[in-house]
Amino acid sequence: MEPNYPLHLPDFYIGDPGPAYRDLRHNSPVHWTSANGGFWGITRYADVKFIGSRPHLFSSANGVLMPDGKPRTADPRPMLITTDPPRHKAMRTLISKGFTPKHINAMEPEVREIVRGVLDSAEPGIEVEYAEGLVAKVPVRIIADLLGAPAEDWEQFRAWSDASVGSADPGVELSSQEAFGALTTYFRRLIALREQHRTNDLISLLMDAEVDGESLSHDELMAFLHLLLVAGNETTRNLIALGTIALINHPEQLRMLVDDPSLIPAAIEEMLRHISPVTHMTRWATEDVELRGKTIRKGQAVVLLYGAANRDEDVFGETAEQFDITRRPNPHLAFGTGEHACLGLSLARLEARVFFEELLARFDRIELTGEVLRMRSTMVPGVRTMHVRLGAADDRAGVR
Amino acid sequence: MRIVLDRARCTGIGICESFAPTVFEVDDNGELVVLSAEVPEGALDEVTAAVEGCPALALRLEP
Repeated sequence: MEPNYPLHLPDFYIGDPGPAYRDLRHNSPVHWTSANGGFWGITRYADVKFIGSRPHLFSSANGVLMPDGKPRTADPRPMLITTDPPRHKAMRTLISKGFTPKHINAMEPEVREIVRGVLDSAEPGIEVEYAEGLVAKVPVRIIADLLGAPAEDWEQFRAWSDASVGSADPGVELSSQEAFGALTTYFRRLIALREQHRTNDLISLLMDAEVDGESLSHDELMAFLHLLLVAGNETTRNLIALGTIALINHPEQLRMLVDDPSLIPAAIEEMLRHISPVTHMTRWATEDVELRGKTIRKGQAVVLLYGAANRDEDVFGETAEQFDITRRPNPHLAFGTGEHACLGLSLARLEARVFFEELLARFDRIELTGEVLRMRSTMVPGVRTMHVRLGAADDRAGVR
Repeated sequence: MRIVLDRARCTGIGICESFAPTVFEVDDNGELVVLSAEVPEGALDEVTAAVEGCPALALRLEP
């Protein structure tokens, strides 16, 4: 009998999907779920890579979120993430210039200053709300700054961004439509300002950009800005928050990091693999495709389950399910694969590295003091709130 | 070993540069420049990491 899992529900991803992923990889690696109009769930590493690198066969044009039961058609003016070749590359190159290792590495002092400012508000021994109160402030400030939003707007930005992805979460007061509208109005204002005066921010870069000799339309520009804000925000926040929980659950590995911060970059790769903060991306078959004895029909949705691929025993061996910050090599697919792979991956790595470097230099003990409240999302089921107490050993106090 | 770049696949994200900055560089136009057609002496590990780490599968090594 074929396994049956609610792959269309947020609760599946908020719980521990590990055992289900394992079952699916072994017993139904190309797995049909009939909910929401139906979609194929892909759980093996090799298959995720195969599909992700064949955009002509598996298109992004109908959207990358898993089917929600509403009809999907291609957007006539799609955003970067839902654009197929050849236009995708031309659009992506416009913005990738701003995200090369050289540019991102140059941001390290600024990232460190922001992280230090945020961590200055946390005192040893005092309970603090960690996800929203500390972690979330870092990526939102960086991305808002990259976009060119003034500092006084950063908090408002975070609220809108949270709301625009957390539509299924009753804990978020603002509806996603309201948040989207508010952001649109705000971006329109920033664009009007840049029409008077260009700066070196991403909005100015995009306003001057051309694809095939044509400027981006107002709608395309807007879609770009929405995408960058949401993509640069939730994902990094949840990598750091869920990564911290992984360290709390593995105190011996937390100790290793405190004692030897040079292990932090490898630890972040393992957090990426083990958590896979973005659970999936969806592709749409452009013709009938045979895969592992199943026929994926033209037009059907194919959901690439990165968290499942990232625990594939064929690639990560018998310890695939375990969290191990010393894992090497670690060729995880947490940033996706193929030409749509995460544009901001260097920035995400930088933010997470600097955050943990600064955190662990100040605090060598982290304990949860209450329940972890999760975002009810199928794509980025992150941490809404988590209360922790941070402890600093006496002999480490005053090191910085 | 020769480094082969499939420019049609490359998205200029620069992952290769972060692994092997002496061999790969994304220029100010967002285009990847391969600084050395052959794998330099002693750089095989980092170039291999760059090739395997390319999410766009745009790089390969040929004997």
